[in-house]
Amino acid sequence: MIDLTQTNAREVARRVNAGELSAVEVARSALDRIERHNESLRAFITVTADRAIRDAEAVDAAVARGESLPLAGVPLAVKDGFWTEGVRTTNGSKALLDFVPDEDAEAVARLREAGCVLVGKASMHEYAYGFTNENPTFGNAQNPWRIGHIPGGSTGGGAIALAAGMALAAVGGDTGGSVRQPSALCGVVGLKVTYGRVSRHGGIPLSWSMDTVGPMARTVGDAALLLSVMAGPDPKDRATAHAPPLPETLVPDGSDLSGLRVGVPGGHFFDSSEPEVTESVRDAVEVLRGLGASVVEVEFPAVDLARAAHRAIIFAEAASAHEPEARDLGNGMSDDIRSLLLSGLFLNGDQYLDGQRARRVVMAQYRDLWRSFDVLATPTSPLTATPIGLRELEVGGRSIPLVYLYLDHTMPFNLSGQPALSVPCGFSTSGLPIGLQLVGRPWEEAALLRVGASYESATHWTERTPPGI
Amino acid sequence: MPQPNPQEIPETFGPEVFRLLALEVLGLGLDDERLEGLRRVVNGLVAELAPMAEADLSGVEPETAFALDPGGWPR
Repeated sequence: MIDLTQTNAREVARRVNAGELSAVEVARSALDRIERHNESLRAFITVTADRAIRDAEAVDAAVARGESLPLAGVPLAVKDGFWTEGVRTTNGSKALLDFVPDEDAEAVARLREAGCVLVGKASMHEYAYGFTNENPTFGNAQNPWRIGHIPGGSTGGGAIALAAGMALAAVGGDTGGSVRQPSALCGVVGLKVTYGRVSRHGGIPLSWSMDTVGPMARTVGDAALLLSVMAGPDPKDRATAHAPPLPETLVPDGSDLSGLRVGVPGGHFFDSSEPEVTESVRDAVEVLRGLGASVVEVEFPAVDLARAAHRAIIFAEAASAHEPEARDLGNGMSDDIRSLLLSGLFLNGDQYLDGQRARRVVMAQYRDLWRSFDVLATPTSPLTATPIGLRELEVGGRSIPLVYLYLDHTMPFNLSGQPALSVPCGFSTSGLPIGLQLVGRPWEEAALLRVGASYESATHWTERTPPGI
Repeated sequence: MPQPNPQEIPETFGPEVFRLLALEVLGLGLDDERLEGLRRVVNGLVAELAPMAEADLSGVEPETAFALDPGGWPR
């Protein structure tokens, strides 16, 4: 058995292509860890063991024929909100318990074509409409670094699977932070792509104008490799029609960041952060400075208008996308999610369009702001993973809903469509992971991956594994 | 997303108006408990939209993902 917490996707693909390791052996290692830990961690809703072995055998056969696949034998976890051919896709809800798509989501199809082996459908917050991965139907997902704490969400299962060595690649969806926040809370890498970079075809929508599909991985290099396979125009998703091509080399050799300007905001990005989070992110910025980057202090606009626009858009679009299921009171959907979906019916067209107009204002602010720096560095989450069941937290003498604390750092860049990368940048004294968020201009994923890889090579945070797993 | 702290939310929709809207206009068919839960969420949502009313949106067109098919329409 190969220990998947001690390797990465790039290395596994290299060894499988070289004939040093079989894809079946890799799949069996992933399935073994899933069997041992899934009941306690709830990383997967559906495990596709038989199919994984069949697919791995097909990869081995392709390699034996002389083919070289960029992701040969890499075990893949797919969020259960993305279609998988012949495998049920619940969107984390009892309401879709019997939905079995007859094709893969485009991003999943591309990864499987490149040699990935689907090991299961990862757990998620119901309908992707939340950030805790608490789930009344499939059980509360657990943070592998501390049982009893949330892994984050909505793509919590993918983050758990990567941290616990159950998979080496994951597909997530990010509409308000759902790739980045669980990546930060579980100590893995997550990339929220530019809107339109990766096809959304086959992803169950939450917000058509803000949904993105992105890779999660154990290293920045792996995230870059996954992105290079997933990205590109798809006639089935018109948002991808005008995406410029990615550079041939996403992560160049060397870690010199000379000439790069890193912006560091004040305001809400640090006001609400736990001291250990602030310290880790400030330390990370100093590492970037040490690698040659210059650091610019940035006055970032207050988050209120971005939050209001994000809410108007997501609530109206989610209600429109899922009104029939939300109205069906007998389908087993949880009351919390039903209320969120139905609440969008109380907004009128004027409020929705005001949201899209405010979005333009916010985007114009950010476009101007990004003239003075290239990459913004913030905490991905101001908090380390909170206990399951917690809804509010006392900050500065006020009780603040966790939805603000967790999403106000990530949601603005779904509104603006910008790419953002979360990279592990430390641990609290209690052993919980901390994430650094790097945000770039539209289509500049390569800049983020370059900075992330340089930072990663100068530190060793991605090498830690959860205790006892 | 769970609703914001109930103590901080102004009541845009009181119980009776909300009941009328939800049951008679939208035809939602919810029981009293679910109706009250939904009312809290809707009031919280409306409160969160307030900053848009204070922003100067005059002359700003909405941002939409709409785009004509660059390949033209099929003949």
